[in-house]
Amino acid sequence: MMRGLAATLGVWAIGAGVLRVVAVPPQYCPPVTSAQALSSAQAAAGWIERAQQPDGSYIYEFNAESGTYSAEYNSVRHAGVTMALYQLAAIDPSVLQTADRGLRWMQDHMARYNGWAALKDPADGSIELGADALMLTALAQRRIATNDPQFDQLMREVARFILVMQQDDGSFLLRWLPQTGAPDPVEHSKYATGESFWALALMHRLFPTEGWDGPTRRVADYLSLHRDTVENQKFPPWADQWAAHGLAEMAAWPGPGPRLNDANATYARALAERFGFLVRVESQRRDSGFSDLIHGRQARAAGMGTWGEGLDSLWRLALLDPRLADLRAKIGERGACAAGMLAERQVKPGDPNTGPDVPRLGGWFTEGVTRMDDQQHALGAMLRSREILDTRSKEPK
Amino acid sequence: MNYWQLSVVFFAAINPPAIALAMGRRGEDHDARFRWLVPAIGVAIAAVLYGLAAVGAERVLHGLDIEPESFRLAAGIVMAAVGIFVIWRGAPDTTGDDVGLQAAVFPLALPLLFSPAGLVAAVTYGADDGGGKAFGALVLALAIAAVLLVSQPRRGMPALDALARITGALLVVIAAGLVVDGVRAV
Repeated sequence: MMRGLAATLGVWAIGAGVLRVVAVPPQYCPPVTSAQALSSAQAAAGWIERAQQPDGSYIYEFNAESGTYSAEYNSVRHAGVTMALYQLAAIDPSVLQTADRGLRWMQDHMARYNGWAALKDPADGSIELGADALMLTALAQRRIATNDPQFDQLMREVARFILVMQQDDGSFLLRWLPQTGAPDPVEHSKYATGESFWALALMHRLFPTEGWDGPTRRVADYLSLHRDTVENQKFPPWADQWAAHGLAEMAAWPGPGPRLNDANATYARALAERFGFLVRVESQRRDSGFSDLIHGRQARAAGMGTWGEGLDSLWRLALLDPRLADLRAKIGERGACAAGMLAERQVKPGDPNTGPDVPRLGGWFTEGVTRMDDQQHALGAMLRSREILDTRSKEPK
Repeated sequence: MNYWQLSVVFFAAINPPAIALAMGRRGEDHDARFRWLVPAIGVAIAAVLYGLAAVGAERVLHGLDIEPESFRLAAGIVMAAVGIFVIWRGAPDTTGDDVGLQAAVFPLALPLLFSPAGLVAAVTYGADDGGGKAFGALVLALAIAAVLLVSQPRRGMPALDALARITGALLVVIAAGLVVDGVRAV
Protein backbone atom coordinates (compact mmCIF):
# COMPACT_ATOMS: atom_id res chain seq x y z
CA MET A 1 0.00 0.00 0.00
CA MET A 2 2.71 2.47 1.02
CA ARG A 3 4.69 1.91 -2.15
CA GLY A 4 1.64 2.47 -4.35
CA LEU A 5 0.61 5.49 -2.35
CA ALA A 6 4.11 6.99 -2.51
CA ALA A 7 4.32 6.37 -6.26
CA THR A 8 0.93 8.00 -6.80
CA LEU A 9 1.82 11.04 -4.72
CA GLY A 10 5.16 11.28 -6.50
CA VAL A 11 3.49 11.36 -9.92
CA TRP A 12 0.99 13.94 -8.63
CA ALA A 13 3.80 16.12 -7.31
CA ILE A 14 5.56 16.08 -10.67
CA GLY A 15 2.29 16.89 -12.44
CA ALA A 16 1.56 19.71 -10.01
CA GLY A 17 5.06 21.09 -10.57
CA VAL A 18 4.66 21.07 -14.35
CA LEU A 19 1.25 22.69 -14.02
CA ARG A 20 2.66 25.36 -11.73
CA VAL A 21 5.46 26.23 -14.11
CA VAL A 22 3.49 26.07 -17.35
CA ALA A 23 -0.13 26.97 -16.60
CA VAL A 24 -0.35 28.75 -13.26
CA PRO A 25 2.87 30.51 -12.29
CA PRO A 26 2.42 32.96 -9.41
CA GLN A 27 0.79 36.24 -10.25
CA TYR A 28 2.75 39.25 -9.09
CA CYS A 29 1.02 42.59 -8.60
CA PRO A 30 3.45 44.99 -6.90
CA PRO A 31 1.76 47.29 -4.39
CA VAL A 32 1.41 50.92 -5.39
CA THR A 33 -0.26 53.87 -3.71
CA SER A 34 -2.17 56.72 -5.28
CA ALA A 35 0.69 59.12 -4.47
CA GLN A 36 3.23 56.80 -6.07
CA ALA A 37 1.02 56.52 -9.16
CA LEU A 38 0.95 60.31 -9.47
CA SER A 39 4.74 60.49 -9.03
CA SER A 40 5.12 57.86 -11.73
CA ALA A 41 2.88 59.83 -14.11
CA GLN A 42 4.88 62.99 -13.38
CA ALA A 43 8.13 61.15 -14.01
CA ALA A 44 6.76 59.96 -17.36
CA ALA A 45 5.83 63.56 -18.16
CA GLY A 46 9.40 64.50 -17.21
CA TRP A 47 10.67 62.04 -19.84
CA ILE A 48 8.38 63.62 -22.42
CA GLU A 49 9.46 67.16 -21.48
CA ARG A 50 13.13 66.25 -21.81
CA ALA A 51 12.38 64.51 -25.10
CA GLN A 52 10.66 67.54 -26.59
CA GLN A 53 12.41 69.24 -29.50
CA PRO A 54 12.46 73.01 -30.14
CA ASP A 55 9.69 72.69 -32.76
CA GLY A 56 7.36 70.99 -30.25
CA SER A 57 7.81 67.44 -31.55
CA TYR A 58 9.16 64.68 -29.29
CA ILE A 59 11.84 62.03 -29.57
CA TYR A 60 9.98 59.25 -31.32
CA GLU A 61 12.03 56.24 -30.28
CA PHE A 62 15.26 55.77 -28.35
CA ASN A 63 17.43 52.67 -28.19
CA ALA A 64 19.30 52.83 -24.90
CA GLU A 65 21.57 49.92 -25.81
CA SER A 66 22.90 51.46 -29.01
CA GLY A 67 22.33 55.07 -27.89
CA THR A 68 20.51 55.80 -31.15
CA TYR A 69 17.33 57.72 -31.99
CA SER A 70 14.79 56.76 -34.63
CA ALA A 71 14.40 59.11 -37.60
CA GLU A 72 10.70 58.14 -37.90
CA TYR A 73 7.84 60.28 -36.70
CA ASN A 74 4.15 59.68 -36.30
CA SER A 75 1.56 62.42 -35.98
CA VAL A 76 -0.99 60.08 -34.35
CA ARG A 77 1.43 59.33 -31.52
CA HIS A 78 2.40 62.99 -31.29
CA ALA A 79 -1.24 63.89 -30.69
CA GLY A 80 -1.59 61.04 -28.18
CA VAL A 81 1.45 62.10 -26.16
CA THR A 82 0.21 65.70 -26.09
CA MET A 83 -3.21 64.49 -24.94
CA ALA A 84 -1.62 62.53 -22.09
CA LEU A 85 0.18 65.69 -20.93
CA TYR A 86 -3.10 67.60 -20.89
CA GLN A 87 -4.66 64.84 -18.82
CA LEU A 88 -1.91 65.36 -16.26
CA ALA A 89 -2.27 69.15 -16.52
CA ALA A 90 -5.62 68.92 -14.73
CA ILE A 91 -3.65 67.94 -11.60
CA ASP A 92 -0.21 69.30 -12.33
CA PRO A 93 -0.36 72.52 -14.43
CA SER A 94 3.43 72.61 -14.69
CA VAL A 95 3.22 70.37 -17.76
CA LEU A 96 0.94 72.77 -19.60
CA GLN A 97 3.77 74.61 -21.37
CA THR A 98 5.20 71.41 -22.78
CA ALA A 99 1.76 70.28 -23.90
CA ASP A 100 1.06 73.65 -25.51
CA ARG A 101 4.32 73.39 -27.45
CA GLY A 102 3.12 69.99 -28.66
CA LEU A 103 -0.21 71.57 -29.62
CA ARG A 104 1.54 74.32 -31.57
CA TRP A 105 3.36 71.65 -33.59
CA MET A 106 -0.06 70.31 -34.57
CA GLN A 107 -1.43 73.78 -35.35
CA ASP A 108 1.57 74.33 -37.63
CA HIS A 109 0.55 71.31 -39.69
CA MET A 110 -3.15 71.85 -40.22
CA ALA A 111 -5.09 71.53 -43.45
CA ARG A 112 -8.46 73.28 -43.86
CA TYR A 113 -11.25 72.47 -46.31
CA ASN A 114 -14.97 73.27 -46.41
CA GLY A 115 -15.33 74.32 -42.81
CA TRP A 116 -13.29 71.56 -41.24
CA ALA A 117 -9.68 71.34 -40.11
CA ALA A 118 -7.37 68.36 -39.90
CA LEU A 119 -3.83 67.58 -38.90
CA LYS A 120 -1.75 66.54 -41.89
CA ASP A 121 1.35 64.42 -41.76
CA PRO A 122 4.31 66.80 -42.21
CA ALA A 123 6.23 64.17 -44.16
CA ASP A 124 3.75 63.40 -46.94
CA GLY A 125 0.78 65.71 -46.39
CA SER A 126 -1.62 62.79 -45.83
CA ILE A 127 -4.53 63.27 -43.45
CA GLU A 128 -5.21 60.41 -41.08
CA LEU A 129 -8.29 60.21 -38.88
CA GLY A 130 -6.51 58.88 -35.76
CA ALA A 131 -4.23 61.90 -35.50
CA ASP A 132 -7.22 64.23 -35.66
CA ALA A 133 -9.24 62.25 -33.17
CA LEU A 134 -6.38 62.34 -30.70
CA MET A 135 -5.73 66.01 -31.41
CA LEU A 136 -9.38 66.64 -30.56
CA THR A 137 -9.12 64.62 -27.34
CA ALA A 138 -5.97 66.62 -26.50
CA LEU A 139 -7.87 69.88 -27.01
CA ALA A 140 -10.76 68.53 -24.95
CA GLN A 141 -8.44 67.52 -22.11
CA ARG A 142 -6.88 70.98 -22.28
CA ARG A 143 -10.35 72.52 -22.06
CA ILE A 144 -11.14 70.33 -19.04
CA ALA A 145 -7.82 71.12 -17.36
CA THR A 146 -7.82 74.87 -17.94
CA ASN A 147 -11.42 75.89 -18.72
CA ASP A 148 -9.80 78.05 -21.41
CA PRO A 149 -12.16 78.47 -24.42
CA GLN A 150 -9.57 79.77 -26.90
CA PHE A 151 -9.52 76.51 -28.89
CA ASP A 152 -13.26 75.80 -28.89
CA GLN A 153 -13.61 76.79 -32.53
CA LEU A 154 -10.65 74.64 -33.51
CA MET A 155 -12.25 71.73 -31.65
CA ARG A 156 -15.45 72.13 -33.65
CA GLU A 157 -13.47 72.30 -36.92
CA VAL A 158 -11.58 69.09 -36.13
CA ALA A 159 -14.76 67.40 -34.94
CA ARG A 160 -16.43 68.28 -38.24
CA PHE A 161 -13.58 66.54 -40.07
CA ILE A 162 -14.25 63.45 -37.96
CA LEU A 163 -17.89 63.55 -39.09
CA VAL A 164 -16.75 63.82 -42.71
CA MET A 165 -15.00 60.48 -42.21
CA GLN A 166 -17.97 58.76 -40.56
CA GLN A 167 -20.09 56.35 -42.58
CA ASP A 168 -23.80 55.64 -42.27
CA ASP A 169 -23.24 52.53 -40.12
CA GLY A 170 -21.24 54.55 -37.60
CA SER A 171 -17.82 53.30 -38.72
CA PHE A 172 -15.03 55.53 -39.97
CA LEU A 173 -12.74 55.63 -42.96
CA LEU A 174 -9.08 56.12 -42.14
CA ARG A 175 -7.63 58.58 -44.66
CA TRP A 176 -8.72 61.68 -46.47
CA LEU A 177 -6.97 62.02 -49.80
CA PRO A 178 -6.04 65.59 -50.80
CA GLN A 179 -5.57 64.39 -54.41
CA THR A 180 -9.20 63.34 -54.77
CA GLY A 181 -10.68 65.69 -52.21
CA ALA A 182 -12.49 62.74 -50.60
CA PRO A 183 -11.90 59.96 -48.08
CA ASP A 184 -10.21 56.75 -49.20
CA PRO A 185 -13.31 54.53 -49.46
CA VAL A 186 -11.56 51.31 -48.47
CA GLU A 187 -9.19 51.75 -45.57
CA HIS A 188 -10.35 51.40 -41.95
CA SER A 189 -8.33 51.39 -38.73
CA LYS A 190 -9.03 49.46 -35.58
CA TYR A 191 -7.46 52.31 -33.61
CA ALA A 192 -9.02 55.34 -35.24
CA THR A 193 -12.62 54.21 -34.75
CA GLY A 194 -12.33 54.09 -30.97
CA GLU A 195 -10.24 57.26 -30.89
CA SER A 196 -12.92 59.10 -32.86
CA PHE A 197 -15.62 57.67 -30.61
CA TRP A 198 -13.95 59.06 -27.52
CA ALA A 199 -13.31 62.42 -29.20
CA LEU A 200 -16.97 62.81 -30.18
CA ALA A 201 -18.14 61.69 -26.74
CA LEU A 202 -15.96 64.44 -25.22
CA MET A 203 -17.45 66.96 -27.64
CA HIS A 204 -20.93 66.21 -26.32
CA ARG A 205 -19.70 66.57 -22.74
CA LEU A 206 -18.21 70.00 -23.49
CA PHE A 207 -20.87 71.24 -25.92
CA PRO A 208 -24.02 69.33 -24.99
CA THR A 209 -26.43 71.42 -27.07
CA GLU A 210 -24.62 71.04 -30.39
CA GLY A 211 -25.78 67.54 -31.35
CA TRP A 212 -22.53 65.58 -31.04
CA ASP A 213 -24.36 62.79 -29.21
CA GLY A 214 -26.04 61.38 -32.33
CA PRO A 215 -22.83 60.52 -34.22
CA THR A 216 -21.32 59.30 -30.94
CA ARG A 217 -24.17 56.87 -30.37
CA ARG A 218 -23.85 55.60 -33.93
CA VAL A 219 -20.20 54.72 -33.47
CA ALA A 220 -20.92 53.23 -30.03
CA ASP A 221 -23.40 50.86 -31.63
CA TYR A 222 -21.01 50.04 -34.47
CA LEU A 223 -18.29 49.18 -31.96
CA SER A 224 -20.69 47.21 -29.76
CA LEU A 225 -22.42 45.21 -32.45
CA HIS A 226 -20.53 45.11 -35.72
CA ARG A 227 -16.89 46.20 -35.63
CA ASP A 228 -15.27 42.91 -34.66
CA THR A 229 -17.15 41.04 -37.40
CA VAL A 230 -16.90 43.66 -40.16
CA GLU A 231 -13.20 44.28 -39.52
CA ASN A 232 -12.36 40.57 -39.04
CA GLN A 233 -11.07 40.65 -35.48
CA LYS A 234 -9.81 37.10 -34.89
CA PHE A 235 -10.27 37.05 -31.13
CA PRO A 236 -13.04 39.53 -30.38
CA PRO A 237 -13.43 41.86 -28.70
CA TRP A 238 -10.33 43.71 -29.71
CA ALA A 239 -8.85 45.24 -26.54
CA ASP A 240 -9.85 48.79 -27.40
CA GLN A 241 -9.16 51.18 -24.55
CA TRP A 242 -10.36 54.10 -26.67
CA ALA A 243 -13.77 52.47 -26.85
CA ALA A 244 -13.70 52.01 -23.08
CA HIS A 245 -12.94 55.74 -22.66
CA GLY A 246 -15.80 56.61 -24.98
CA LEU A 247 -18.29 54.40 -23.15
CA ALA A 248 -17.24 55.80 -19.77
CA GLU A 249 -17.56 59.33 -21.15
CA MET A 250 -21.04 58.57 -22.52
CA ALA A 251 -22.12 57.14 -19.18
CA ALA A 252 -21.12 60.43 -17.52
CA TRP A 253 -22.82 62.68 -20.07
CA PRO A 254 -24.94 65.47 -18.65
CA GLY A 255 -28.71 65.25 -18.83
CA PRO A 256 -31.17 62.41 -18.45
CA GLY A 257 -30.40 58.84 -19.52
CA PRO A 258 -30.42 56.21 -20.77
CA ARG A 259 -26.87 56.85 -21.82
CA LEU A 260 -25.69 53.38 -22.80
CA ASN A 261 -28.01 50.84 -24.41
CA ASP A 262 -27.85 47.13 -23.57
CA ALA A 263 -25.53 46.37 -26.48
CA ASN A 264 -23.09 49.03 -25.26
CA ALA A 265 -23.20 47.61 -21.73
CA THR A 266 -22.60 44.07 -23.02
CA TYR A 267 -19.66 45.33 -25.06
CA ALA A 268 -18.23 47.13 -22.03
CA ARG A 269 -18.46 43.89 -20.07
CA ALA A 270 -16.62 42.02 -22.83
CA LEU A 271 -13.91 44.68 -22.86
CA ALA A 272 -13.49 44.39 -19.08
CA GLU A 273 -13.11 40.63 -19.42
CA ARG A 274 -10.48 41.02 -22.13
CA PHE A 275 -8.44 43.65 -20.27
CA GLY A 276 -8.70 41.63 -17.06
CA PHE A 277 -7.42 38.50 -18.77
CA LEU A 278 -4.52 40.37 -20.36
CA VAL A 279 -3.46 41.83 -17.00
CA ARG A 280 -3.73 38.43 -15.29
CA VAL A 281 -1.51 36.84 -17.93
CA GLU A 282 0.96 39.71 -17.77
CA SER A 283 1.19 39.39 -13.99
CA GLN A 284 2.44 35.82 -14.51
CA ARG A 285 5.30 36.88 -16.76
CA ARG A 286 8.79 37.57 -15.47
CA ASP A 287 11.81 39.30 -16.91
CA SER A 288 13.67 36.06 -17.63
CA GLY A 289 14.50 33.91 -20.62
CA PHE A 290 12.57 30.97 -19.19
CA SER A 291 9.43 33.05 -18.69
CA ASP A 292 9.83 34.51 -22.20
CA LEU A 293 9.97 30.98 -23.58
CA ILE A 294 6.97 29.61 -21.69
CA HIS A 295 4.71 32.63 -21.26
CA GLY A 296 5.95 35.11 -23.84
CA ARG A 297 7.84 38.37 -23.45
CA GLN A 298 6.65 40.98 -20.98
CA ALA A 299 4.35 43.50 -22.65
CA ARG A 300 5.73 46.89 -23.50
CA ALA A 301 4.34 49.85 -21.60
CA ALA A 302 2.46 51.06 -24.67
CA GLY A 303 0.52 47.79 -24.49
CA MET A 304 0.08 47.35 -20.76
CA GLY A 305 -0.65 51.05 -20.37
CA THR A 306 -3.64 50.71 -22.69
CA TRP A 307 -4.97 47.82 -20.58
CA GLY A 308 -4.63 49.94 -17.46
CA GLU A 309 -6.27 52.91 -19.17
CA GLY A 310 -9.13 50.73 -20.38
CA LEU A 311 -9.67 49.21 -16.94
CA ASP A 312 -9.60 52.64 -15.32
CA SER A 313 -12.35 53.86 -17.66
CA LEU A 314 -14.44 50.72 -17.20
CA TRP A 315 -14.08 51.02 -13.43
CA ARG A 316 -15.58 54.53 -13.68
CA LEU A 317 -18.28 53.18 -15.95
CA ALA A 318 -19.08 50.42 -13.45
CA LEU A 319 -19.61 53.12 -10.81
CA LEU A 320 -22.22 54.80 -12.99
CA ASP A 321 -23.97 51.88 -14.70
CA PRO A 322 -25.64 49.28 -12.47
CA ARG A 323 -25.40 46.65 -15.23
CA LEU A 324 -21.64 46.57 -14.65
CA ALA A 325 -21.61 47.08 -10.90
CA ASP A 326 -20.85 43.40 -10.23
CA LEU A 327 -17.52 43.77 -12.09
CA ARG A 328 -16.33 46.89 -10.31
CA ALA A 329 -14.22 45.23 -7.60
CA LYS A 330 -12.47 42.89 -10.04
CA ILE A 331 -11.88 45.66 -12.57
CA GLY A 332 -10.36 47.72 -9.77
CA GLU A 333 -8.17 44.82 -8.72
CA ARG A 334 -6.84 44.37 -12.25
CA GLY A 335 -6.39 48.11 -12.75
CA ALA A 336 -4.38 48.32 -9.53
CA CYS A 337 -2.31 45.34 -10.66
CA ALA A 338 -1.51 47.00 -14.00
CA ALA A 339 -0.54 50.20 -12.19
CA GLY A 340 1.71 48.27 -9.81
CA MET A 341 3.50 46.49 -12.63
CA LEU A 342 3.96 49.71 -14.58
CA ALA A 343 5.32 51.54 -11.53
CA GLU A 344 7.81 48.80 -10.86
CA ARG A 345 9.07 48.63 -14.45
CA GLN A 346 9.61 52.38 -14.85
CA VAL A 347 13.19 53.70 -14.90
CA LYS A 348 13.75 55.46 -11.56
CA PRO A 349 16.39 57.79 -10.15
CA GLY A 350 19.44 55.74 -9.24
CA ASP A 351 18.90 53.21 -12.03
CA PRO A 352 21.93 52.85 -14.33
CA ASN A 353 22.48 55.34 -17.15
CA THR A 354 19.94 57.91 -16.03
CA GLY A 355 22.05 60.98 -16.63
CA PRO A 356 20.48 64.28 -17.73
CA ASP A 357 21.41 63.83 -21.40
CA VAL A 358 20.04 60.31 -21.77
CA PRO A 359 16.26 59.96 -22.16
CA ARG A 360 15.85 57.07 -19.75
CA LEU A 361 14.60 58.44 -16.43
CA GLY A 362 10.82 58.12 -16.11
CA GLY A 363 10.58 55.97 -19.22
CA TRP A 364 9.64 52.36 -19.88
CA PHE A 365 12.02 50.25 -21.93
CA THR A 366 11.46 46.92 -23.63
CA GLU A 367 14.62 45.16 -24.78
CA GLY A 368 16.42 48.48 -24.42
CA VAL A 369 14.00 50.47 -26.56
CA THR A 370 11.36 53.04 -25.65
CA ARG A 371 8.91 54.84 -27.91
CA MET A 372 6.97 57.98 -27.14
CA ASP A 373 3.68 56.11 -26.77
CA ASP A 374 5.18 53.89 -24.05
CA GLN A 375 5.23 57.00 -21.89
CA GLN A 376 1.87 58.23 -23.21
CA HIS A 377 -0.14 55.15 -22.29
CA ALA A 378 1.70 54.38 -19.07
CA LEU A 379 1.25 58.00 -17.97
CA GLY A 380 -2.47 57.78 -18.71
CA ALA A 381 -2.83 54.49 -16.86
CA MET A 382 -0.93 55.68 -13.78
CA LEU A 383 -2.78 58.96 -13.64
CA ARG A 384 -6.25 57.45 -13.97
CA SER A 385 -5.52 54.56 -11.62
CA ARG A 386 -5.27 56.92 -8.63
CA GLU A 387 -8.99 56.89 -7.97
CA ILE A 388 -9.03 53.09 -7.98
CA LEU A 389 -6.03 52.97 -5.65
CA ASP A 390 -7.59 55.52 -3.29
CA THR A 391 -10.84 53.57 -3.16
CA ARG A 392 -9.10 50.24 -2.62
CA SER A 393 -6.96 51.67 0.17
CA LYS A 394 -10.15 52.62 2.05
CA GLU A 395 -11.89 49.28 1.56
CA PRO A 396 -11.58 46.61 4.23
CA LYS A 397 -9.08 43.90 3.32
CA MET B 1 -23.51 27.70 -10.16
CA ASN B 2 -26.37 26.21 -8.22
CA TYR B 3 -26.09 23.10 -6.10
CA TRP B 4 -27.36 20.71 -8.77
CA GLN B 5 -25.06 22.07 -11.44
CA LEU B 6 -22.15 21.66 -9.06
CA SER B 7 -23.29 18.11 -8.30
CA VAL B 8 -23.14 17.26 -12.00
CA VAL B 9 -19.66 18.78 -12.20
CA PHE B 10 -18.40 16.69 -9.30
CA PHE B 11 -20.10 13.56 -10.61
CA ALA B 12 -18.15 14.03 -13.84
CA ALA B 13 -14.89 14.86 -12.05
CA ILE B 14 -15.05 11.97 -9.57
CA ASN B 15 -16.67 9.60 -12.09
CA PRO B 16 -18.29 6.97 -9.78
CA PRO B 17 -18.93 4.47 -12.63
CA ALA B 18 -15.21 4.43 -13.49
CA ILE B 19 -14.30 3.88 -9.83
CA ALA B 20 -16.79 1.04 -9.45
CA LEU B 21 -15.42 -0.53 -12.62
CA ALA B 22 -11.79 -0.16 -11.53
CA MET B 23 -12.48 -1.75 -8.14
CA GLY B 24 -14.68 -4.43 -9.70
CA ARG B 25 -11.83 -5.51 -11.95
CA ARG B 26 -9.65 -6.15 -8.90
CA GLY B 27 -11.84 -9.09 -7.91
CA GLU B 28 -14.28 -9.63 -5.12
CA ASP B 29 -13.21 -9.48 -1.52
CA HIS B 30 -14.23 -12.72 0.12
CA ASP B 31 -14.62 -11.24 3.58
CA ALA B 32 -18.27 -10.09 3.62
CA ARG B 33 -17.53 -7.39 6.21
CA PHE B 34 -15.20 -5.64 3.76
CA ARG B 35 -17.92 -5.39 1.12
CA TRP B 36 -19.26 -2.28 2.83
CA LEU B 37 -16.38 -1.41 5.14
CA VAL B 38 -13.83 -0.78 2.36
CA PRO B 39 -16.09 1.60 0.42
CA ALA B 40 -17.11 3.33 3.65
CA ILE B 41 -13.53 3.96 4.75
CA GLY B 42 -12.43 4.96 1.25
CA VAL B 43 -15.28 7.42 0.88
CA ALA B 44 -14.68 8.82 4.37
CA ILE B 45 -11.00 9.44 3.65
CA ALA B 46 -11.80 11.02 0.28
CA ALA B 47 -14.51 13.18 1.85
CA VAL B 48 -12.07 14.53 4.43
CA LEU B 49 -9.45 15.29 1.77
CA TYR B 50 -11.99 16.93 -0.53
CA GLY B 51 -13.42 18.88 2.38
CA LEU B 52 -10.00 20.29 3.18
CA ALA B 53 -9.40 21.13 -0.48
CA ALA B 54 -12.77 22.84 -0.98
CA VAL B 55 -12.88 24.75 2.29
CA GLY B 56 -9.22 25.76 2.12
CA ALA B 57 -9.29 26.56 -1.61
CA GLU B 58 -9.18 30.34 -1.29
CA ARG B 59 -6.34 30.19 1.22
CA VAL B 60 -4.38 27.74 -0.92
CA LEU B 61 -4.74 29.84 -4.05
CA HIS B 62 -3.86 33.01 -2.16
CA GLY B 63 -0.79 31.26 -0.76
CA LEU B 64 0.23 30.23 -4.26
CA ASP B 65 -0.41 33.77 -5.62
CA ILE B 66 -2.96 32.49 -8.10
CA GLU B 67 -6.21 34.29 -8.84
CA PRO B 68 -9.24 31.95 -8.86
CA GLU B 69 -9.97 33.08 -12.43
CA SER B 70 -6.51 31.97 -13.56
CA PHE B 71 -6.76 28.67 -11.70
CA ARG B 72 -9.85 27.84 -13.76
CA LEU B 73 -7.55 27.47 -16.76
CA ALA B 74 -5.32 24.98 -14.97
CA ALA B 75 -8.29 23.09 -13.55
CA GLY B 76 -9.82 22.91 -17.01
CA ILE B 77 -6.60 21.51 -18.46
CA VAL B 78 -6.36 18.79 -15.79
CA MET B 79 -10.04 17.89 -16.03
CA ALA B 80 -9.92 17.75 -19.84
CA ALA B 81 -6.85 15.49 -19.75
CA VAL B 82 -8.52 13.12 -17.27
CA GLY B 83 -11.76 13.13 -19.28
CA ILE B 84 -9.96 12.32 -22.54
CA PHE B 85 -8.07 9.51 -20.79
CA VAL B 86 -11.31 7.97 -19.51
CA ILE B 87 -12.96 8.23 -22.93
CA TRP B 88 -9.94 6.52 -24.48
CA ARG B 89 -9.09 3.87 -21.90
CA GLY B 90 -12.20 3.54 -19.79
CA ALA B 91 -11.73 3.06 -16.04
CA PRO B 92 -8.15 3.44 -14.81
CA ASP B 93 -6.12 0.29 -14.15
CA THR B 94 -5.10 0.15 -10.53
CA THR B 95 -1.66 -1.04 -9.53
CA GLY B 96 -0.78 -3.21 -6.54
CA ASP B 97 -2.66 -6.09 -5.02
CA ASP B 98 -3.76 -4.54 -1.75
CA VAL B 99 -6.89 -6.10 -0.33
CA GLY B 100 -9.13 -5.47 2.64
CA LEU B 101 -8.75 -2.29 4.61
CA GLN B 102 -5.45 -1.42 2.95
CA ALA B 103 -7.29 -1.27 -0.38
CA ALA B 104 -9.65 1.28 1.17
CA VAL B 105 -6.71 3.69 1.38
CA PHE B 106 -4.88 2.68 -1.78
CA PRO B 107 -6.15 2.58 -4.45
CA LEU B 108 -9.74 3.35 -3.48
CA ALA B 109 -9.46 6.57 -1.44
CA LEU B 110 -6.45 7.76 -3.36
CA PRO B 111 -6.17 7.98 -6.35
CA LEU B 112 -9.59 6.65 -7.40
CA LEU B 113 -12.00 8.63 -5.23
CA PHE B 114 -9.68 11.51 -4.41
CA SER B 115 -8.39 12.05 -7.93
CA PRO B 116 -6.56 14.87 -9.74
CA ALA B 117 -9.72 15.91 -11.58
CA GLY B 118 -11.74 15.87 -8.37
CA LEU B 119 -9.05 17.79 -6.51
CA VAL B 120 -8.77 20.64 -9.01
CA ALA B 121 -12.57 20.77 -9.28
CA ALA B 122 -12.85 21.03 -5.48
CA VAL B 123 -10.29 23.83 -5.41
CA THR B 124 -11.65 25.86 -8.32
CA TYR B 125 -15.33 25.55 -7.37
CA GLY B 126 -14.50 25.88 -3.69
CA ALA B 127 -12.82 29.20 -4.45
CA ASP B 128 -15.55 30.40 -6.81
CA ASP B 129 -18.73 29.14 -5.13
CA GLY B 130 -17.66 28.67 -1.54
CA GLY B 131 -16.10 25.65 0.14
CA GLY B 132 -19.26 24.55 1.95
CA LYS B 133 -21.39 24.55 -1.17
CA ALA B 134 -18.76 22.76 -3.22
CA PHE B 135 -18.27 20.16 -0.51
CA GLY B 136 -22.03 19.60 -0.24
CA ALA B 137 -22.18 18.99 -3.98
CA LEU B 138 -19.26 16.60 -4.12
CA VAL B 139 -20.63 14.54 -1.23
CA LEU B 140 -23.44 13.46 -3.56
CA ALA B 141 -20.95 12.08 -6.08
CA LEU B 142 -19.10 10.28 -3.28
CA ALA B 143 -22.38 8.81 -2.05
CA ILE B 144 -23.18 7.49 -5.53
CA ALA B 145 -19.69 6.00 -5.71
CA ALA B 146 -20.25 4.31 -2.34
CA VAL B 147 -23.53 2.79 -3.49
CA LEU B 148 -21.96 1.46 -6.68
CA LEU B 149 -18.99 0.05 -4.76
CA VAL B 150 -21.16 -1.70 -2.18
CA SER B 151 -23.56 -3.12 -4.75
CA GLN B 152 -20.67 -4.41 -6.94
CA PRO B 153 -22.83 -4.80 -10.07
CA ARG B 154 -20.71 -7.50 -11.71
CA ARG B 155 -23.17 -8.28 -14.47
CA GLY B 156 -23.38 -4.65 -15.39
CA MET B 157 -19.68 -4.17 -16.20
CA PRO B 158 -20.20 -3.25 -19.89
CA ALA B 159 -22.87 -0.74 -18.91
CA LEU B 160 -20.58 0.72 -16.26
CA ASP B 161 -17.79 0.99 -18.82
CA ALA B 162 -20.07 2.87 -21.22
CA LEU B 163 -21.31 5.11 -18.43
CA ALA B 164 -17.73 5.83 -17.30
CA ARG B 165 -16.71 6.91 -20.81
CA ILE B 166 -19.82 9.06 -21.24
CA THR B 167 -19.04 10.66 -17.90
CA GLY B 168 -15.49 11.26 -19.18
CA ALA B 169 -16.95 13.02 -22.22
CA LEU B 170 -19.12 15.14 -19.93
CA LEU B 171 -15.99 16.05 -17.98
CA VAL B 172 -14.26 17.22 -21.18
CA VAL B 173 -17.23 19.46 -21.99
CA ILE B 174 -17.24 20.90 -18.46
CA ALA B 175 -13.49 21.42 -18.65
CA ALA B 176 -13.79 23.29 -21.95
CA GLY B 177 -16.39 25.55 -20.37
CA LEU B 178 -14.12 26.12 -17.41
CA VAL B 179 -11.21 27.14 -19.65
CA VAL B 180 -13.43 29.54 -21.59
CA ASP B 181 -14.69 30.91 -18.28
CA GLY B 182 -11.11 31.40 -17.10
CA VAL B 183 -10.23 33.31 -20.26
CA ARG B 184 -13.40 35.42 -20.21
CA ALA B 185 -13.34 36.31 -16.53
CA VAL B 186 -12.12 39.75 -15.50
